[in-house]
Amino acid sequence: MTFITIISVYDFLVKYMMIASLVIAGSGVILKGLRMIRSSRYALSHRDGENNSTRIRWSPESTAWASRQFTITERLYLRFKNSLFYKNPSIMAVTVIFHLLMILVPFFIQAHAILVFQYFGIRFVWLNDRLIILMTLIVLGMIVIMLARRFMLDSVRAITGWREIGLLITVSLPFVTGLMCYFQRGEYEIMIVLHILCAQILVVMLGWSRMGHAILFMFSRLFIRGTHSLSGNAREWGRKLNE
Amino acid sequence: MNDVMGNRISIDADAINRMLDEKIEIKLLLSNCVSCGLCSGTCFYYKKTKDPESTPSFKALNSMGLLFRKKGKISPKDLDRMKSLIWGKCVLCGQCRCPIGVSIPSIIAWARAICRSQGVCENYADSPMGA
Repeated sequence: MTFITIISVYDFLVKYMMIASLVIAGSGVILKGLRMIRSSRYALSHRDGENNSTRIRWSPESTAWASRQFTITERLYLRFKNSLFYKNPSIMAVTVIFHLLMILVPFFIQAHAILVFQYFGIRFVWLNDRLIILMTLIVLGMIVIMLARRFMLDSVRAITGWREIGLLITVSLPFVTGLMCYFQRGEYEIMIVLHILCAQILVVMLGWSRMGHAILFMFSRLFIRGTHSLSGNAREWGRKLNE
Repeated sequence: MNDVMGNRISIDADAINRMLDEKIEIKLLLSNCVSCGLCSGTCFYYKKTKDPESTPSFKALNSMGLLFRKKGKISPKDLDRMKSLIWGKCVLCGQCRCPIGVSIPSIIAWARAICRSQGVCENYADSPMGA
């Protein structure tokens, strides 16, 4: 009886809850996106018919001196020297590896690929189990480093609250339960249900919590004009002028 | 607490809220700040003093962040604390960098504007560099 109940819970989680969590997360992401679009406007230089002569703006003319003074290599070096990769290389390495693996690992697990094939009929590649375990352990190691940093560094401890710690723990839970499922530690049926639940909570949080920095990051670094923008030039913060 | 002219401060929450509405993008930016603290490595003031309160994100979260959290209903004590953070521990040099692209100088600048609207600002005549 218990086994049947767990099977039905599993089916419910994989079928209906998965769709529900994707819809909730998706609506959060769309809402966030709309808020970003509403809070920004086309950059002044992109709007036709407006007098922008009084505004100091980033233009080829204003950077002409730099073009004459420095070669492309020198300019790239200056950009690197002013970036966080130069200023704080160790923690930047930790965070880049963590984010990269956190996104990649779930997509290349054999069990996930089988699930995708069962439900959607799509064949997906997967990586060797040992490699996946190693990558999972690296992700968990990076989370431990980031947690330790939160407690050990005064500057980070001053801005750390229960939300930040909760965020890191929530991210780590699907990986921990996933490992426990793989190694069959604890009651497998309960562990797999916990694993799916934790992953769905993570997906929902993407749209409705600080985890949304994944979306804001792309918007602010790629579209918004600013000193730290990678290529953003099209939009700038601020509401439309007629609002 | 007295304002820069020596008069007793009365806080106008409606005026603060109107100014907060003008920069709604700051709320969006702050709600996505994960408090990674990476900006501290780019702040010369933090590097010199090692004071955790001079971390750029601390200053942003405890000035504009506080105003958004309290919906403009802050006490004169909060305003005084904000003043010491955004004037006393920041020179708006614009060197702070955020990995997710939060523009901290613009947040501090707007917090200063709100403080000024309530009659609170740095009294340079009383500062060590003053007249």
